[in-house]
This record gives sequence, structure tokens and C-alpha cells, in this order.
Amino acid sequence: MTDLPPRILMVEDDADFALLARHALSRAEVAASLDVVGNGEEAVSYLERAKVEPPALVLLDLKLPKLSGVDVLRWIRAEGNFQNLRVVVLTSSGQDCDREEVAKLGAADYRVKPAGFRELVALMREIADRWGLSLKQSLQ
Amino acid sequence: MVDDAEGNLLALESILGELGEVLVRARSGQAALAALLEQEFALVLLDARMPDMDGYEVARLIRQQRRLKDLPIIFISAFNPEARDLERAYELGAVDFLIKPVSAGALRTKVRVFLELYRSRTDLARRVAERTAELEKEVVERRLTEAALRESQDLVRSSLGAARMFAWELNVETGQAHVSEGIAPVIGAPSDFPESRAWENVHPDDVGELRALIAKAVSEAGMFMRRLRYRRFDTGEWIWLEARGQGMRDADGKVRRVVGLAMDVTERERVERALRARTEEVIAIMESAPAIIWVAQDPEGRSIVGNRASYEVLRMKPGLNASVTATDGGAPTHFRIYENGKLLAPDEYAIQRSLREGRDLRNYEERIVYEDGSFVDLLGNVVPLRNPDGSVRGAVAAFVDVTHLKAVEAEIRALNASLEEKVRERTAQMSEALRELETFSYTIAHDLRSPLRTMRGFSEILLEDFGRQLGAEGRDAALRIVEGTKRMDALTNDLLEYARVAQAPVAFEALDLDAVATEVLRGLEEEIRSSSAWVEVVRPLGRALANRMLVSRVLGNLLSNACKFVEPGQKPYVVVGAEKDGGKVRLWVRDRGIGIEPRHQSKLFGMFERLEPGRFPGTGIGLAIVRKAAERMGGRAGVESEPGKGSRFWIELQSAEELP
Repeated sequence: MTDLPPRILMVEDDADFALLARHALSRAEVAASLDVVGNGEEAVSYLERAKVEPPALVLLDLKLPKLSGVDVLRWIRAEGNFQNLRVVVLTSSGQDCDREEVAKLGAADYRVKPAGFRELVALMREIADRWGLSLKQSLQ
Repeated sequence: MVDDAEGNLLALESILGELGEVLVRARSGQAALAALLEQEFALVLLDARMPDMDGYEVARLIRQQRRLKDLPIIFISAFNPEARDLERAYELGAVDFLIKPVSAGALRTKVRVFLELYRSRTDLARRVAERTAELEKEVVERRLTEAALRESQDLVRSSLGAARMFAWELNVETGQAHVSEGIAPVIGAPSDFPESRAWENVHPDDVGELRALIAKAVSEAGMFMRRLRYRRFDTGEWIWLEARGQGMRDADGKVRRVVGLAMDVTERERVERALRARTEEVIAIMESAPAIIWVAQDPEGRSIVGNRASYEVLRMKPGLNASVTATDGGAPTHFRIYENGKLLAPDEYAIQRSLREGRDLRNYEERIVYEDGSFVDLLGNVVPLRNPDGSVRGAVAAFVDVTHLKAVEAEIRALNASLEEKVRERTAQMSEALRELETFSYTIAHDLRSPLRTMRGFSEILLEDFGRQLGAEGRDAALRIVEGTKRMDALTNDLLEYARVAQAPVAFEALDLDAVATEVLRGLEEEIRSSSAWVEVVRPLGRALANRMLVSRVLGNLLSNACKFVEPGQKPYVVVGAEKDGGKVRLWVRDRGIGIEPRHQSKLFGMFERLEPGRFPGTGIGLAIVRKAAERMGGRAGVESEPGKGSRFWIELQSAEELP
């Protein structure tokens, strides 16, 4: 099991952005597999199934169909198994009130989706570095 | 009876006894003289020959007494007297000389004559004395009367003078007039002023009337009184005389004289005219004032009159007694008065209360309800009128018709009650609108920017991963897509910002502008460094009553502009400062940039206005946000600029220096 790359769960309804993020992760040489779900409910059912081996990181959009990002965050915090699950909020708005609420709910970080691809690559690299996910580097 | 012989005396007594007079006897001359001094006698019968002192001697001594010099003496002698004796006796005033024996009858007759003579003489003397006394008394009385008369004439004269009054008399037959001397000071004439000229200075308009009055007084023996104008002789001023006259009947019943008084009433006339003028003014005030006015003319309020408006409101004929407690039988009964919905008894009405309690009633409200059920609401004051001694003599009441106001007031009360409910509803609606706005903004930010990100992201992947296959033209096309999405993103961002500034709720605080400036500069660090700008802040900037977010946005936009609009190759030089002007503080940002032509300055703060779109990047929204932010804080924004030299942008805010 240990030779399997760590998994990142991306909760994102914009499939284009999810694809861009996949490109960016690859460009940033992050050795993690990316699982994408398109709404809050799918995120919850994904995590229900992954209680034993939770993902290394959750990239969570706030504006989601069915169950919002904040609701997902709240569910995670209420769920005993995910006390140490790292959640990075990745949103397009950047409104201050969201930032505070999200911090209160125990999100590890809050980032605004960059407009450019190069900036997205930089962001992915930064996140991977910060949470020790740049396995390709460490392997080399 | 004087005789030294007892017998002679007895004889005389027997002869004279039947006369019934008082007989006094004396036996010697001395005794006789003593008796004469003590009593008054009508006649002395004197014996000529007596020892010691004879009759002649006694007679001489009697004559020496002034009182007795006319006392009749009859000598009696026993002997025929010698001529010498007779002569002597008569010299001594004897009235007779009788020789003894004396005839009884003759003696009695003679004595009776002398007694009557005496009697008549003493009676005359008494009557003379009485008359004299009477005359003297009359004289005294007359003198007193004359003095009193003089005194009273003086009194009359001085009274007339003091009253500026004079008496006059006109003889109708001769036309001759007399006036009392008091006329001179009244009409300003000299003291030797001829009476006949007294009529000359009567005002020509009054002469005819005066003549008619005099004629009537003559024909009816009646009285008249009339004021007339009269010109003073000395000053020529017109004075007012009040003339009274009375036709006087003579003994034959004919009236030939008219007498009377005239007095100067100029001052009284002046006062009365002034009083009439004041009265007219008061009446005019009462009639013209847009108020309902009543005057209670007695302390019980039984007689109340008012102005026209008051009769209109009471629906009564003007001039009637408006008192509901009138005792003359005409008290109105067609209305009732209520105070705060309570029916008042007549003695509880405002005027009656003010009269009884002797105090003002202020802002008193009452409602008059008529028989037909309609009503009028009145609001007013009542003030008691007082006698010089302070007791209440009446009252004045002034009211205004507030029926309409009261109706409006009730309406307002009802509206107010529903208003709170409306405010609650409206607040809820506004909160809802605000939530919608936030959702809308969020949607723009999220949904509008997502496709942009996709377009740009994949264009960049094209450029980086497939650049070679695309060729130069393909790369240029992909680049233009990237630049387009960038501009679109900036526009979306600024629009979102403008919407937030224009519509977000704004809370004010006493804002420390220095702290805000420091914070804003920290946020712009990267931009300032990349443009090589020099930024200086002239501290202290002071404090303003403003919103932190809005001021930050304004300052950020102005600083960003100042760093941007410079000639190529020039380093931006920017100064931030503030100046206080009364209750305002003006926060400004000055640059040495390209400057703005005057014709462009007014448009600068409009939406999407861009100075030189080709030369400088931007959305044209930044200054629109500045102006909107200033307006939202109750201030304004402006610019002073000169092309080629630079600009000074400012916003004016409420100063908070006086606040803690």
C-alpha cells in the first residue's frame, strides 16, 4: 500500500477547472492521484467509503450544487474519523466572510482560484510542498 | 316820699295808697339819697324844710347824679314859698311845688301823670334798646353774609379757573353776552378782553348748530350741551369747548336769557378720541384675527360677546349674548361642550372656570357638539380680566378651530400604528434584496469568471505545450485570447467592486486615516515597487467619521492611478496628505504625472471613462468607485490638475477630530 501515490480529492463542479487542475498538478510534478467529484453529496459519499484510507488532501470549492462546500466542511468536522483530514478551500470569490467562516470550521488553508494557468501550476506546487506531497521529488 | 314828720308821711301814704304803686318813705335827706341809689323811682315827693339837710340840698345832690338828673321832683312845703325858694326849686329841676295842705285829688292826679310819664319813658328806652340790639345783630349778620358771599364767589371763581371753565349769559333780546372773567385763560385772551368778542372764535362749522341749540333753549326754556371747536386767541390752536346752556324764565314766564357754563375739554376730547381709536383697533383685531374670540363682561360670565367667527362657530346671530348661563332668558341651548370626551356642565366651561379660579387656562382643548351631531374641536387660551384691586371682572378667550388638525392627528396616530408594521415588512424586504444582491455578486464572480479561467488556462496550455505546432500566427491568436480574458477578468472584478461600494451597508467609525494609509500602502507594496514609485505621506492625516473599507478602497485606487499615469520612463512621485477645514477633512493624493486637461476633468469620475485607452491599461471604473464611496460617506470627490504638471485628487469627509 505504501508504494501507491497519495490521493487528492477535488470537489469541483466546473469540469474544465478540474481538468486544468489535473494539468497543473502534472506540470508541477506532484506525485499524487487526483479524484474529482462534482458536488457536495458525492464528496460526502466518497469520504464515507474512504474512512479507512482517507485522502491526503481535499481541495474544496465552496459554491457547489446540492451540498455547499461549507456544508461538506461541517460534515467533515462532525465526522469523528476525519479529525486530521487536511482541507484546502479553493474558491473563485475571495470574500472575507467566507474566509472567516471556513477558518472557524477548521480548513487548513483558503486560496482563490488563479485566473492564469501558470499561477495555477505555482499554486499546486506550493500546496504540494506545504503538505509534503511532492513524492516525485523525494523519490528522485 | 321824703319828710321828717311821720304824720306827713302817713298822710301822703293815705292819699296815694289807692294808686296801687310802690311807696317808699324816707325820714331824712340822707335816707332819701340812700334809697335813690339803691332803687329806681318814677317820682320824688320832697319836703322842702327838713332838719340837717333841707329839700333843696337833697335836690341838688340828686341832680349831681347823672342817672337821676331827669328824675321828676315835686317839692312840698308847709309854707308859702318865697320867690327865691321857688326860683331855686325850679332851677333844681322841680316839676311842681305844692303847698300844704295838699289837695288829695290834685296830688293823686299829678303823681299819676308823672308815673305814666315815667312808665312811657322807660318803655320807650327799653324798646329803643331792643331795636338797637336788633339792628346791631342785623348789621353783624349782614357783614357775615357778605363775607360768606365774597368767599363763595372767590371759591366759584377759583373753581371755574381750575376747571378751565367759565360762565356765560346771553340776553336774547339785546344780543348782549356776558362771560365770567375765567374765560381769559381758557381761550387765551387778554384780561381786558371785550365780552362781545367771545363768540368770534367759535369754529364756523359749529356756529349754526350752537345758534339752533340756543334758539331751542329759548323756545322750550330747556337745556343743551354740545362740544364745539374754538380757536384760542393767543396761539390760534383749535381747542374743544363743552358748552352747556339753560333758557331762564323771567317773572313773567318769558325766556329772555340763556345762561350756562363752558369748559375746555380738549384733553378729554383727545383722550376720548384715542380711546375710540384703540377701541376701533381692538374691534378690527377681533374681527380680522383668524381666531374665535369671546369676552366675558362680568365676573360670573353671564354676559359674553364675541367676534364674528365666534358667532359662526356657535351658529348664533352676531351680537347676541353667548353665555349659556345668561339670566336674561336668551341663553343658547343648541350645543354642548365636551372636554376629553366628557360632557361639561355650564359652570365647567373654560371661561367660567377661568373666572371662578382667577387664572389663565392655556392650550385648553374642547369640543362643541351641535344638536345635529356635528362638532367642532377648539384649542385656545382664556385669560381673566381684573379690576384695579385685583378682583376678576371678566375674561377674554381666544380659540382656533382645530377640527381638521385633530382629524389629521387621529389619522397620523392610526398611520403610525401601521407604520411600524410597514417598517418591519420593509426591513425584511430590504434584507431579502440585500441577500439577493450578494448572491448575484457571488454568481457574477463565480460563474462569469469560471469560463474566463477555462479559456485562459487552455490557451496558455496551447501556447506552452503546442506552441511549435501552432506557428507564429496561431501563437498570436492564442495570446490575444489570453489578453482578452485578462481584460474581461479585470472588468468583472471592478464591476463587482463598484456594486459592493454602491450597495453594501455602510457603518461609520472615527477612522484613523494614518493607520488606513499605512495598511493601504502595505497592500500596494508590489505595485509601488514594480513602478519604481516614490510615495510620501505627510502625517498626521487626522481622523474622519467614515467607513474603513470605503476609505481603503478610495485611497488604494487613487494611489494606484498615481503610480500608473506617468510619461513613459518617468518614476512616479506621489504625496498623500490631508487638511482640515471646519468640520471637514480633505484627504488628497498628489502626483507629478501626465495631468488632465480641464475639459476632461468633469467627466473623469464617470463610469467607464478612460483617459487614454491606448496608452494606459484600466477599466474606467476606479474613479467611479472613488466618487461613489465618497458619496456613500456623505462627502464628495474632486480633482485639481494641470496637463504636464500633475494632479491632485481628493475626497472630502466629515472630520472626527472633536470625537473621542
